[in-house]
Amino acid sequence: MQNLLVALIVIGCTGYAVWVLVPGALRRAAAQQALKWPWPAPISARLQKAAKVSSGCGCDGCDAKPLKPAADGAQPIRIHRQPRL
Amino acid sequence: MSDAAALPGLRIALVGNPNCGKTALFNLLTGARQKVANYAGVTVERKVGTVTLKSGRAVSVIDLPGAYSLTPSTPDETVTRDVVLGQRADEAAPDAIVAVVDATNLPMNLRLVLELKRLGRPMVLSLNMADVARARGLQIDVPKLSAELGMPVVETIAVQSHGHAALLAQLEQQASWPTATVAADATPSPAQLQREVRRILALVAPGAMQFKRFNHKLDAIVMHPVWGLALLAVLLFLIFQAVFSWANLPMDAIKDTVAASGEWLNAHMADGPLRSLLVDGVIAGLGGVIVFLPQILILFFFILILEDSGYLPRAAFLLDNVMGKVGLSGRAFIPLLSSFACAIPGIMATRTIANWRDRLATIMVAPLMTCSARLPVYALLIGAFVPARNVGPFNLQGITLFVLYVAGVVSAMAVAWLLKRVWIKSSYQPLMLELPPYRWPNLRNLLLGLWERARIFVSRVGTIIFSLTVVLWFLSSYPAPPDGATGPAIQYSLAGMLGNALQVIFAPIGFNWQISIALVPGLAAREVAVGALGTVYAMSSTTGEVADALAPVIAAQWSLATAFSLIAWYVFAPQCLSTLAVVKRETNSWRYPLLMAAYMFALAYIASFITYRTTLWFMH
Repeated sequence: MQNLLVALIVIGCTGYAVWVLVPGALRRAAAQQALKWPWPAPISARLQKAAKVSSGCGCDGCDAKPLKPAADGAQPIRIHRQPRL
Repeated sequence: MSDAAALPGLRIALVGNPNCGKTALFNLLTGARQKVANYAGVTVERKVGTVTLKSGRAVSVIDLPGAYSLTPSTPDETVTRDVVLGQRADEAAPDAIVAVVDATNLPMNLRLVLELKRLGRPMVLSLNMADVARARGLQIDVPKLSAELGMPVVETIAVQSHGHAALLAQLEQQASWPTATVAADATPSPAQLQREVRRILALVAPGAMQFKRFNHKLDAIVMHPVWGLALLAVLLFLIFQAVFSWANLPMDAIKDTVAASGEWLNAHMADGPLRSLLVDGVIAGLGGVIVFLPQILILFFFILILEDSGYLPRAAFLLDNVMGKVGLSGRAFIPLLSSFACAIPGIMATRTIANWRDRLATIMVAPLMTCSARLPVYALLIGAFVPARNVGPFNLQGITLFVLYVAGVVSAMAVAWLLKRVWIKSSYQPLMLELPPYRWPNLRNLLLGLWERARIFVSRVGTIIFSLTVVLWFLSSYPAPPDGATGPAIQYSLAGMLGNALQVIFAPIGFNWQISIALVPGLAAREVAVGALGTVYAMSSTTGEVADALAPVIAAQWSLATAFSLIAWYVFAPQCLSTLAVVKRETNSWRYPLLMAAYMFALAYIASFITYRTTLWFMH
């Protein structure tokens, strides 16, 4: 019994660690493949989320459109004199 | 379902100048817990939350980075411009705009409101911090301001529980918000906009132009080129003293609980693989990491106070001269400071830096700042090898921790200096940063911030650290030792073989095979290395003392040179995989994360080699 429990815990933890640490592109592809199979609703929802998340830290603000490096160059500072009131 | 609930979901965007309270309002509206602080540039990406109105209608609230105008000069302002104008892929423009302004800083804030008004969208003005303005004698004629701007104006207090009631009431009536008419004339210049702001303020808040937001007497000391720097050094020194001095009691309580759990399991469970997994894997591994929670919370208690008080941007100005000398922008200070928590938000925060080369240089050095994941490693090694005695009034362990944090800062500055001279050359960019007024730290923000740090740490312990500890226990247990084996079983396991193979690389810097094993899972998250050491030493032990405490075991088995070498390794250690992934995303290239990993690995190895050999030389 102890052996069976240990095997289940180790398999679960290995699967979780691989899932979390694998590059985002691979996780996305794996989730898209897995969605072809019927899953219970909670797992399916998680897979759908994983299939959409892009690489990086998974924040929703910047993943929709990656920022391009701005052109290099000094920013001119414009001083506007305050008129006397 | 009410009629309102049947309406399509409404999308509103919170738009305003940096540090006017948008995120605090967003948290209040949606129940979210996004980070807020008293300085500009905390939010660098768009966040979406939902609020359900009393009528049952769902409203999506978009929190945006602060912007001074719709002509962006930094990547975070570009995010705001793109969302507001509907220029983002897969995302339409918001249905309505809530323009958030700081009521104590109307001359600056209203200019963006006038720009937004020209977009011709339904708008409402949220007059935030109205209580502070009123308490300090600034009278604002709200109905007249509403008439002048041609939009509803509501007062909000984003740091109070029901400070958003008026805004919620306005959201219920969103369909009746007037749509501003777009003027046919050419886009006005900033000077023209500012003149219009002054005209409006002369009518609705005559005292606004002369309103004093700053305490100049206090700033004369805090921002003094000599006394200010001395104050900053003293503050940081005292913080690290407190990390060691105040944490003893809660740490001892956690240690005792962990030890009691191990003893209880040993007494009540039959010998077998499950007991070994729980005692040698889970308790020895996780117990060794969770014990550092009090120190992390004490450190963040002070950081959050400094953030909320408005002190940090002043420190950025103090250090601008130093940053400029090594080629970094003064704006790099906040991203580098954020990296003390974790390099990931630090790297994201570099979006406030307009110049790409300055931004890249800051990204490349951000992981050298001592992130909170290093704290358990430092605390373990300092606790094991630095005596807990006082030097004068100060705790020697606290001094050592302070020196390690300073070493991280100095190494980041040195690398930035080198990078800006040989690779990412650019001219000095003057620091332009809006100073916030001083504020008493908000207790709710402080408690929420601490809760968030504790949640993040415990969640990492319970998920990725737990998983990797279990995997490491398995690799340390199998295959079983051959018949007649004399050494500890772990030496014959997969982890033992891996450790022995890696030791060829790490022996010159004094690392034994146990440390070599722990470095591998430490790449996933640095603090995993502590849990991994706990598991590896528990598996190597025959008496079970590691489940109680790891520090005395390594103190007995490692030389001082090995301990110092490992500390030096972690000052420069190649960062965790998540950091590399974020660098890839932020730079849109694999080149920079690979370069970063290579230079940090080389730096860590060289530093450890020099430290190990020098310590050995001194010891003989």
